[in-house]
Amino acid sequence: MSLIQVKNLSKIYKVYRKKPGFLGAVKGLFHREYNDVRAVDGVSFDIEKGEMVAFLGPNGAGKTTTLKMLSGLIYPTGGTANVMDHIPWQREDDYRRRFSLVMGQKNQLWWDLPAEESFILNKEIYGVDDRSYRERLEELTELLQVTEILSQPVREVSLGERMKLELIAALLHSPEVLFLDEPTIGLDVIAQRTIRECIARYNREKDVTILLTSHYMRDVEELCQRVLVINHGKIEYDGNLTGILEKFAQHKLLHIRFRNSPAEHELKDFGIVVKNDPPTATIEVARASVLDASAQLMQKYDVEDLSIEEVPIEEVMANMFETKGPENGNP
Amino acid sequence: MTKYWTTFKVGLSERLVYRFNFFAGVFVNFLPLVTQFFLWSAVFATRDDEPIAGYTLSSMMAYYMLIHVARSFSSMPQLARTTATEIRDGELNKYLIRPIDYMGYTLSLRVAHKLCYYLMASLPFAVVFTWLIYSGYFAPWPGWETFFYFALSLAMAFTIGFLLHMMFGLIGFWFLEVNTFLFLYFMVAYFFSGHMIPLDLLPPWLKGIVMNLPFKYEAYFPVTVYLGRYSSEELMVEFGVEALWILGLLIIVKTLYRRGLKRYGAYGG
Amino acid sequence: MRISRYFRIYLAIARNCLVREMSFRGHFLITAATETLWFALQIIFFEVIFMNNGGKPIAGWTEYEVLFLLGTQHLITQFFEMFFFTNCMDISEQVRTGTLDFVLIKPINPQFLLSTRKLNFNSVANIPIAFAILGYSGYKLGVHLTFTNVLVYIALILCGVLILYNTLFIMALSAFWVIKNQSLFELWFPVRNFARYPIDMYPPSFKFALTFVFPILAVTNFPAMALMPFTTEMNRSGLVPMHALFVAGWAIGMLFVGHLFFRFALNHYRSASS
Repeated sequence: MSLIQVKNLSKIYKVYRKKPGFLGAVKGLFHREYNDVRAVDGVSFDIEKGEMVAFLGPNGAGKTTTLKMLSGLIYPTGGTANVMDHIPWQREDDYRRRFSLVMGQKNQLWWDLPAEESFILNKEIYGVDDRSYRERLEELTELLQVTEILSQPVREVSLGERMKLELIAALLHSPEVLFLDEPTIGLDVIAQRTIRECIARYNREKDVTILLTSHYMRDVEELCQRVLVINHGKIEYDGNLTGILEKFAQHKLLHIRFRNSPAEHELKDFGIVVKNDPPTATIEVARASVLDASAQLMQKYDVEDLSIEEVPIEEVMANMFETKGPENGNP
Repeated sequence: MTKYWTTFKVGLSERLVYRFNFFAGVFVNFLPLVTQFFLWSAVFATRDDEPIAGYTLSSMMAYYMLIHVARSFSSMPQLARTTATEIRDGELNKYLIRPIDYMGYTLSLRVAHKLCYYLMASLPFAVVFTWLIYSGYFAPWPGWETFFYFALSLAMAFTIGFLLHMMFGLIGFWFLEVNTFLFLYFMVAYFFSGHMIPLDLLPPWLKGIVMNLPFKYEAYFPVTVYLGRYSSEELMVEFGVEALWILGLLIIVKTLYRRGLKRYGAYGG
Repeated sequence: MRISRYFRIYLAIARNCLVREMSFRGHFLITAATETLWFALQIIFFEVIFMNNGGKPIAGWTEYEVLFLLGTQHLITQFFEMFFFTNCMDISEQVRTGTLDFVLIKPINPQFLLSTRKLNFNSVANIPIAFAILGYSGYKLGVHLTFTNVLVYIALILCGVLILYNTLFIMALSAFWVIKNQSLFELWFPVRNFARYPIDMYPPSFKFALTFVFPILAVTNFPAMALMPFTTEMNRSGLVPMHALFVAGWAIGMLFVGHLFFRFALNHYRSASS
């Protein structure tokens, strides 16, 4: 049986519609109008133990809302969910001991104190015994290279390091399930990489089931075999990354370096000219005809170098999200 | 000029959005009056209603009621704190790059807030006031001339309050934590403005000091004008001194602002 | 077993708070000083009245009795501010920024964590001052300390703190419905305002309402009355065991109500937020 089972989960909530202008504000004092927003609209998926799954989607797609429902923070409007044989929104102590939630840019650590102090408080709250606590702390601080900053007040530490500390705080009680909400948001490239490595390693070594939301492609590419694409509260794709490309990327990119660059209008015969910077050029070619186009180009012109690449996933995603228009209640 | 009017309108809408706070705030101001009423009734009962320092029970109640009115003109909730925060968080930049004077902007906002408050509070206030005057628990109507001076003193109370709060907010250019200064100021003002107790009841040595400070203009002065405790000559003197205080405070505030901006620029916010 | 766990958690919180306060020494001193100043203002207020009134009692309460009441009030306020005040005020901030979520995912009673999050050591400095005033006025009144009446005093102080906590807590829960909660701070002062004055100042209807319908007057008056020497010739109320028990019952009852309200508020939060 899957560790996480979600069936038809929905969350619909009301939003107060404010009328613009002064008169609207006065009216708003006495009478309010509401709109229905379908944050999560009939979402279903199953996750096995040890899987690392990414929720990918634009802002407001419903990723965080789904995660919050699985953390028990929000009541769903409809549907069921089952995590490790618990119903999340019943918030049983046993359940809460077994999972962790980390939210990018939101701190649970005490601001003015060294992270260590917050860890000790968490230790008491989760009931971790002294030995396990010390072992785990040592292990994690080494893994994330934060041993020196443990005794510095959290407010003095950089954003990337703060995130690492938050991660440690979340892992000290050895959760079996880890929910990460935008864990790499706002971090510099190196910090992002360290966090990803830690997450990947933790998943491998401890067989922890991880569900993370992101709108960064990098997170997904580096970490997850499986991607759930969510948009407007619905799951539009559930599978692996390459599958997205095959399904949604209509084109590939041809990068060519010429010895003698042809005129631009000639290049246009092969596809859409994305970039023409003699001696190099990039052409977008339909997936099916990419091999033919390459062969023709090499025959016809003096080609020094040629490579075939996928369209960047960001673009694919952006296109995916654009094609479907707004549906329920969004103005 | 229109930009100040727009600011004014925005300030008005802003207040209306938080309707709960609004109604609650108006209601809250009435409650202390109730306890004051019971307290002073008990005090006067022990002296067979003989006046204290020239106040009878009804003029004492009038004093406390009017203190609220006066304080509502001169108190600027959050002005100092907001100013200090805007300085500390570097939000001043958004004013500096726009063709608008920070002082004028804040003033427009404040006036908007006050007006909103009066619009909302005037009806219950008027009802209670009329009832009180008729029931005899209040001082009699002082006549239009005195009322004019009362209104004038209220406008000046607003100005002094604005300047004093601004002054403390501008200290934020030099100190990170303005809150403690502010709290001390609020407490001093609470006492010295006559909000806590009519200044006439203070022992003479203390009264002498307090009367020479600007705080009394925030509340005590307008109230005592209404209660007719000044002769025409005394009134002119008081208004004169108050005008000097306003001038002095204006100079201080402007200087603080200029000096502070220089310092602010140096650190880039 | 469960109590000891919560106790250990509380110790960890207390330790964190102490460490934090130590690093803010200047702030600590000034905040303590402002509390003392406020207390001094209240004393000045009454002293000025007594001075202008030839020392005659107010509603039957003599000068030292009023002083004793103020001392009791200061004590209760300081204890309340030490344990609960900031935490209740912070609730709206936690709801607004979403850090409440971190509280909810922990395997611990969320009301406990929310209410005990911070210990305000500022107030510690003022407790000896309250005791000093109590000692001075108590001496002048000829207060006679016995085991029983000290116990009653402590118990009633505890009830007072609990009543204040629950009242503010329930008021703070409005943050779950209304976003900007700054007026809570202003709303709280009239509540405290009623508690500040001698109970006999109020007319019988008020006295009844504010002692038995909602015991705000009992919070400070009852403990003071428990220790102040009382004879039936005196022109003021004395404490009757029945009343004291009633207030204790109220305090405990409010704990239940507060908790029920909290669950209700959480329900709303979890249904309405995204």
